[in-house]
Amino acid sequence: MSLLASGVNSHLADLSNKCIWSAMGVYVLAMFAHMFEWTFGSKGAVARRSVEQASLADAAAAAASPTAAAKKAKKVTVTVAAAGGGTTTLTRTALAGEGATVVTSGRGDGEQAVDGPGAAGSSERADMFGRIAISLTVLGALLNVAGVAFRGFSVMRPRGGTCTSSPAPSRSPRSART
Amino acid sequence: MYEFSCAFALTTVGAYLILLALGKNVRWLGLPAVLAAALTLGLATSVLYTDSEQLVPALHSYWLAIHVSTAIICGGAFYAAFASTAVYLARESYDKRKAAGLPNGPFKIPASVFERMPATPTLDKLSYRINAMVFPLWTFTIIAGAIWAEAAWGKYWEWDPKETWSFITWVVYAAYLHARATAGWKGRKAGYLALLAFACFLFNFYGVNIFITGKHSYAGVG
Repeated sequence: MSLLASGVNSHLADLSNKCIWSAMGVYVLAMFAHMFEWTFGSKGAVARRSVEQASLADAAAAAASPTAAAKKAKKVTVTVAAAGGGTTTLTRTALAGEGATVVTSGRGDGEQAVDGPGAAGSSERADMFGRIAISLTVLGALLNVAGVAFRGFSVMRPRGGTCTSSPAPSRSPRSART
Repeated sequence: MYEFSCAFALTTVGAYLILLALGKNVRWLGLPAVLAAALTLGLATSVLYTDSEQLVPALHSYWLAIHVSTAIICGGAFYAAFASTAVYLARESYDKRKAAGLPNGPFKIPASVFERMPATPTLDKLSYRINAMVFPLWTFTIIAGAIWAEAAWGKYWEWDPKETWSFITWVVYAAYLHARATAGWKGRKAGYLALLAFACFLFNFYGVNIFITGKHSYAGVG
């Protein structure tokens, strides 16, 4: 398949390549920032609490039924705590009589679904990495747009030019004579 | 394919940023989105790269902007739904293990990772809504392609491999939406169907272009 190499602005094409490579690098940095967010978030209070509660759940299950009944009663109570700008949950269901019980916006499906707090948990450091990741993602997207745009501009037809291409080499003996 | 991959990475990230800008609680989608974008660009710049060249005459049409752009936008949105479905399946698996008293999630991933994810109904709802919203655009993409095919090649539909796999992708997404709306499918069953649909989309883009020759073979690869 032979395509035209003429009519291409090589400077813009090269610029496009550099923008795409840069976008790729920035996306990789954003990926690392997200990974840090998830990792440091696991040291946050919520994540630690969830680990405690996993082991508390084991202990509660092994204990007598009054604990189980108390757990059930706790689940009926609904309090909504607003997080900073998204869904609802801040604190987890308490097992041993402390804290508030929170439930996400009810969908009437009978389930009491609790949205997690997000990758950062309650760790400010992790949240900072999350914000850095989003900023890097935006930058990567802008570089990506630039790369795609410059690639298109590199083959832009001149204004008023028609959509022509040099004729393919003819295999017809008749045209070879003209 | 190089240009399509670059634009595909862009729409994948774009779908994520748009959801963030709309105030949705989707920061968890950041890692899958930039991971996919980085991998797609890596593949594009290494294996799929071709030098910038003028379009072949058959592609000189305003339909390029319509048909190809909508296909790329659909791809980005379908990926966001796919990521949401995948996270849903992981979280649902963790919820079952937690109910059974097991300490960690699937593949021994710590519980803290899953506890920070949105709840399964949220994830299920997000993937359903994105797929439902983008499905009409995918339908339009196929129809626009057919109209362009008539203008360029003289026939609306010739069961070219790309056309066929686009249609297969459409049927599987339609089956997913139909199963959810009519048969009331939700949960893992619907999730697997959504994964299958996105797999069809990926094969339509990568597999057909590289391994199967047809009228859509402009890429210069494979």
